[in-house]
Amino acid sequence: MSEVIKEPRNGCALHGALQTVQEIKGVVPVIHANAGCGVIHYLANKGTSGGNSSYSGLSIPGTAIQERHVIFGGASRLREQIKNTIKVVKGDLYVILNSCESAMVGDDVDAMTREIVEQGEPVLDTLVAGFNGGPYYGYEHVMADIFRTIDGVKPSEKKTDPYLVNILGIIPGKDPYWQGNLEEIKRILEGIGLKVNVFFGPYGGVRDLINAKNAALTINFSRWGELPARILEEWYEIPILQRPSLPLGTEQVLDLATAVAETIHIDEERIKSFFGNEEVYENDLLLRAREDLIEYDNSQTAVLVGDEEQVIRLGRFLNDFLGKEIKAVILTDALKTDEEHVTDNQELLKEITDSIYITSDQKKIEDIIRSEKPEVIFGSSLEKRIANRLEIPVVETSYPVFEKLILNKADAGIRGTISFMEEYITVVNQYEAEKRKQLLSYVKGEKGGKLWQEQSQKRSYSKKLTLVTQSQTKESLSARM
Amino acid sequence: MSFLEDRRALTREKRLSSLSHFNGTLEALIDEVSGTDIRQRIRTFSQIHADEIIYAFDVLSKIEDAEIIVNGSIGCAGIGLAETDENYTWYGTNLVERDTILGGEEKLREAVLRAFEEKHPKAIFIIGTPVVAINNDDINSVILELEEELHIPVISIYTDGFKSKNPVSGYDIVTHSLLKYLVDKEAEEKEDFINVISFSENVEDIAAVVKILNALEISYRVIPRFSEIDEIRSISRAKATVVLNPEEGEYLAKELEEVYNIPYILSEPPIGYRGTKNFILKLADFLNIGEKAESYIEEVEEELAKGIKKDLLEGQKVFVDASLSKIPSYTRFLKNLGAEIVGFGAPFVDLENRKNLQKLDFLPRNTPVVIGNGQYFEKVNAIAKQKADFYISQYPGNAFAVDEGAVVVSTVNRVTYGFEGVQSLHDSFLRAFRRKGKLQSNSNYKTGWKTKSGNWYVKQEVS
Repeated sequence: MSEVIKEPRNGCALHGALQTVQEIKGVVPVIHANAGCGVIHYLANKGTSGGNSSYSGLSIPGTAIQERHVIFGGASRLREQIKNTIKVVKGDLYVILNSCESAMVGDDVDAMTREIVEQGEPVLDTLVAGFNGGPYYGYEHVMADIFRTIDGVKPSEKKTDPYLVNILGIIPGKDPYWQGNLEEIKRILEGIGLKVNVFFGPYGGVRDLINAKNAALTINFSRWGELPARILEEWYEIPILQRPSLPLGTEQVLDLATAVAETIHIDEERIKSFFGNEEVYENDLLLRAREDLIEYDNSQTAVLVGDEEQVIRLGRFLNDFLGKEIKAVILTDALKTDEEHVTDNQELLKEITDSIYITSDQKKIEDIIRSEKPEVIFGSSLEKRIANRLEIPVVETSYPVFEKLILNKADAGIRGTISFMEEYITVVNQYEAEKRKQLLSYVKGEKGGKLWQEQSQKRSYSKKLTLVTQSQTKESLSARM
Repeated sequence: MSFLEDRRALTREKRLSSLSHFNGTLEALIDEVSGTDIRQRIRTFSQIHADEIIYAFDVLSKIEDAEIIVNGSIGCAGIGLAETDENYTWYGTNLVERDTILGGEEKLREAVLRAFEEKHPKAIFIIGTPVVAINNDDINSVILELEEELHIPVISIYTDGFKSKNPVSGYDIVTHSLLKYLVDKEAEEKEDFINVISFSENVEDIAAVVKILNALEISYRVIPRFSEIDEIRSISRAKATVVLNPEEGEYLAKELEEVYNIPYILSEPPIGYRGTKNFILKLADFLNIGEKAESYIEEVEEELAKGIKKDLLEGQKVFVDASLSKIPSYTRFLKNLGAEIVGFGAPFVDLENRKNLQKLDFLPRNTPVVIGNGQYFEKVNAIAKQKADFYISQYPGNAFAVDEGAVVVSTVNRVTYGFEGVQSLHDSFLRAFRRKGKLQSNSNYKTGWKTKSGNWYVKQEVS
């Protein structure tokens, strides 16, 4: 049963599908919806951290359906839109995204796509409607639909590469650090001798989508890649390595490498030498921050707010590395009942904390934080309000992050350990500096206040003294006279 | 005639024959829109664009003591993230497939009650979305019941996202609801302030106008953007109304004039020297403070002249993209700085704002015009053909023009109003010169399209 949500942060299935395809180089999204659906997604993300891809915002082709299409159907409008999109806009693959309206009206989007594909054009569609679910649903379904149909529109011979892996489970934009994180995972996997299909960002593209069937393994880093991973498994017999989250810290990364090595042969020497170097790098830099960590007493109690994957990744690291007490985690993506996924991270989450909440309602999130009384929050910019009220710092690690540009900074892998600690210590330092400023002005105010009071009291006391003395003198004088 | 008897505002298309598709010359456009109604056109290729839900939400979200409920699928409520102010809150009814079949009234009720209990607002606005409109949910019975219970106005904003191509219809829908359900109808006595109507202006522009009004000691209320519910109630007691962008706020001003006898001071957006001067003088004329206004203008202009390079844009080709009300001021100002105006774009032209085309007598009759809300592909075509050096736009997401070789000047986060705006626009161009040839990437558009007529995908509607 769905509920009313205060300040919903996630968007809908269409938005998820859109933010997925617009981050794959060479893909042109075509939105079959009323004019504003895609613009809402654009405006919602304009103030957040990831920058804009080349087919984003008002440049996205869309049918902008009108009342008549709602009444009489919008299929013919879609047909002319696809035909002309190919004439106007450059692209290697055109992906049609469905919407609430076209689902409610019942447009035969598939038939329109088939018609144009028969003409040899690289077009495919996904039948995601906004009300079907959140952006996670949109990501899974659009990726699954792409893997189902890409070979039909971009045929190529299957040639398995024993060192090629597909990376799934990280939704562009939903992880504010997605660009840096994918880059870091690619760096690590290449470091141990693998090749990587990242699909998204500067190293991704349509080529990766075509090439996905040739991989020897799909690594899925959250529950949200299960469906597309399963399609690759069923259609192309690519085994799946299901991980609860991206790794953070050398230990976790090594654990990932060991798990990968169960399916793909990796030279042990290569792993050793790679991790040897990485460990030195991570240790050297992290140890530089020790004094800050100790002096600012960075083992505060914390509440984590974000997607399940982020919460597990950061929660484990904060526990293992800093010995933090995680008072509660609030999962903003997971569903209370989830029959579509086999992933069950309850045990892992319980190792982090006993208090596990699932909600994206801002009122509930704030109430939980208030009752848990943490000393620091790891969450989104939306948690700033409650953080300010409770006078505690918030480290922005989950979507949405406002007023920041995050392009290649990571908070996963090994380099991500360093940048995560940088961000964390910076936020705490700034918060402490602000607190010191306030304390200083309090101390000055207090001191100044007392001085003023004392001085004014002294003045009036001495005045009284004078008066008394004068009158006494007068009296004594008169008595003498 | 007052529209207050109607349940909801008519779309711009129905009320004013608003046209959102035209690609041709200034002369052809003037000819096309000169009749009693304007023949509609259709694009057979289009790009996504803002709709009235977005515009309505934007203006309502700036009202301080009201709460907004977006009644629709969860994605529609995502628009709330566009407002990054920490103190701002909103709710989404989060309608799912089941609600699209059985109706979402119960969730709407729950949302209104929650908003009331948690925030104690002075009014609650319910924004309609496509799912609710298609489903025809009975919002009114929920409202009737809850108004009685809560004793605050619960107001339906009848947006649906697909009945109008013109997002400004969203401002009309908000206007209609504010006048019908909020504004004080018993206002006999007038008070000493004027309504300054703003729907879309950024805070920078409002600040510039406020500085002018303060300098002239004019008391005012900015409505409805950045206002409070009680201020909106009081607009029927104002002694006059002025509109910052007439094509957005004229509907409200005219209705106030008709129903409450509040004079509407006709003016133009305060952009450029002449636009700003006209704006101030029209106000001053009504308020009988002409002398004061003239000496203010003289003083500010004298100071301003020192910082303006009069031939800044000499020999530069500029394409201007702004609302039609602003096009005369922008093009005149840029032309006076030496620019050659090689075309302009505007989101719509209707029976009211078409008067702006007549003011463009200083432009050649064959100046290219693109009428379209967004539709950057058509602007790409025009910029590429005209080899524009500069593209100035008030709309977001305009990096595309850089890829066509133009330097982009954006007014999104900049002040454009008042004399302050004159300096700011001038300085923006000055800085933009330094970006010439920079930040460019590959165009997203096929060369074939850029050499075609920009009118290629526009056809006349068959009725």
